[in-house]
Amino acid sequence: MTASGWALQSASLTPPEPADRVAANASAWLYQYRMVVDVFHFDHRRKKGACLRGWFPGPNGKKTRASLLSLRRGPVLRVSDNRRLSLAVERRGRHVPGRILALAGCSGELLRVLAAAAQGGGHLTTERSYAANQPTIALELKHGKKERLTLYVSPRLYRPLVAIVATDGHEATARLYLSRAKPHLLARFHLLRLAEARRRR
Amino acid sequence: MSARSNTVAVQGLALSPMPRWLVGWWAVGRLVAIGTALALKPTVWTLDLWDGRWYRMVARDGYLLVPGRQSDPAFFPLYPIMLRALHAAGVGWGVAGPLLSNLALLLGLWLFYALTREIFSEPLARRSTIYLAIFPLSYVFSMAYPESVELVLLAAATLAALRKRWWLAALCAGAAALARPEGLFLALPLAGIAWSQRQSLPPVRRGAALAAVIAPAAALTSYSLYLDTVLHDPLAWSQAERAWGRQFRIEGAHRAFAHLPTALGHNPWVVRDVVFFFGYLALLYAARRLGTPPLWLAAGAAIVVLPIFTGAFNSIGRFGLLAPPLFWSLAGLTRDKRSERIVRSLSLVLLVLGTASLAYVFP
Repeated sequence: MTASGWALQSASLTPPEPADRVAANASAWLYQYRMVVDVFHFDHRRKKGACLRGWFPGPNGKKTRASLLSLRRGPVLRVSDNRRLSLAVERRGRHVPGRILALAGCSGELLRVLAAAAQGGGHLTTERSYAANQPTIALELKHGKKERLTLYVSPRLYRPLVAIVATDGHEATARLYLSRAKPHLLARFHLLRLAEARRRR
Repeated sequence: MSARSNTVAVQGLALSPMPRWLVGWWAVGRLVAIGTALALKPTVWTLDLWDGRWYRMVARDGYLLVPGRQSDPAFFPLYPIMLRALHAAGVGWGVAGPLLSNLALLLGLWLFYALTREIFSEPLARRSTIYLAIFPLSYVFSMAYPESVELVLLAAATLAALRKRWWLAALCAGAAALARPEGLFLALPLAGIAWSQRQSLPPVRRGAALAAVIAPAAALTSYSLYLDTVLHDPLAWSQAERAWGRQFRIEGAHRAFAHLPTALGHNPWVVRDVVFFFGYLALLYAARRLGTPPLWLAAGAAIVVLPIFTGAFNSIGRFGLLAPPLFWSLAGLTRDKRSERIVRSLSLVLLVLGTASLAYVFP
């Protein structure tokens, strides 16, 4: 019964596409780590930052699922689940393309986009590549002619290493360091107070 | 499909011809459910919504587990396999599910009638079959959900066992476990029937009876093995269930009651499932007094009570559709014509309202 059941399923159902599997495996990493320390490259600038996923109070004070993206010597941006961007902490500095940076450097945003593409039959492709000084698999998601997300993952474990987002003529690259949300890291990126506010509420 | 399966069923289970009243009540129930669904959203095929989309996704693209997200391994494989076969025969994805479910229900009602007549009496079998056909939540039998197919397999497995066709029973019981998790509880009535026939069965048939009892567990194992093959995770279905908010815990039942006010605040429709849950408990009690075989009662109780150990009441109303003792009990309680008429009328009115609720809430 077990063997015939297995044979029936194997013969009748299609296995997932390799690109969908890579996306699902990369999503597993992104789901496990709610904090990412990023090194961004955009508009000929290099900037460090960190993104924390969780439940945070929004502009109306109500807690919702969101990501906080903090840039060194820059603002702290809040990206809600419905992709609305708001300022959590304002700081002086040059304008940053927050939406693109959040998509490239936040585990929550990457997870949402990849999972939707893998489950919804989005146009995902994979190819062998090289990034972060090592061989990688490049997972590419195209949306229309102008939007593109490329995630470079390690070939065996599918750990996300680098993300490149191109949209509306802008491009941002993020070197991803998946991290645990430890107090010293949160403090370094001015996220400790916001993370504690989350806990208190 | 119907004519062919009818022939197979007649040969395998020695069934009498399908009664006309049964076809009539099946048609009444389906007309009400499908008519309401079409009136509700004439441009959108309401009966293909909710879980139907996930079954279609599995049929089209296979399984994929995305950790932390609602994923399709929570949906068992037999129904998508059947959808895929229908699609290969030229039926569109949107129509395949409701078509399969509605036709399977006709066969399921016929087998359920034969099964009930075998265990109780003709009048009770007739009443309980009619109640099942027009039950307030029976619109699920018209949706792209596997409940109709599960009903066919559940009734066929136990009827085959009662007729001492144990290999057929094993096949149907295994298939039932591949259609819905409730198929696992078929082992209980099958064990009861096997025990009652232990003196009259030759040794080979005894082996077949044992195979039928363990068939649901064996089939479930095959699903885990398949998931291990394609997703490298034999427990992917359990992981996916977690993302749907379902995780079995000993304290789950306590949590379900403790969190009920919050759950009602979040989704007031939960009250529907709470009402059905307590209604089902009362019917199970009445089924015991009716003389329902104890292992059938145990299977019915497992179908109704175990889901609350996941910490929520959601969808218990729908799960109860696959617990035959509930319908036997309802039929046993309404022996006089007047109460029978009341139950029929009330069921049809609630069936219209239930189908209309599909626009707002999952069944």
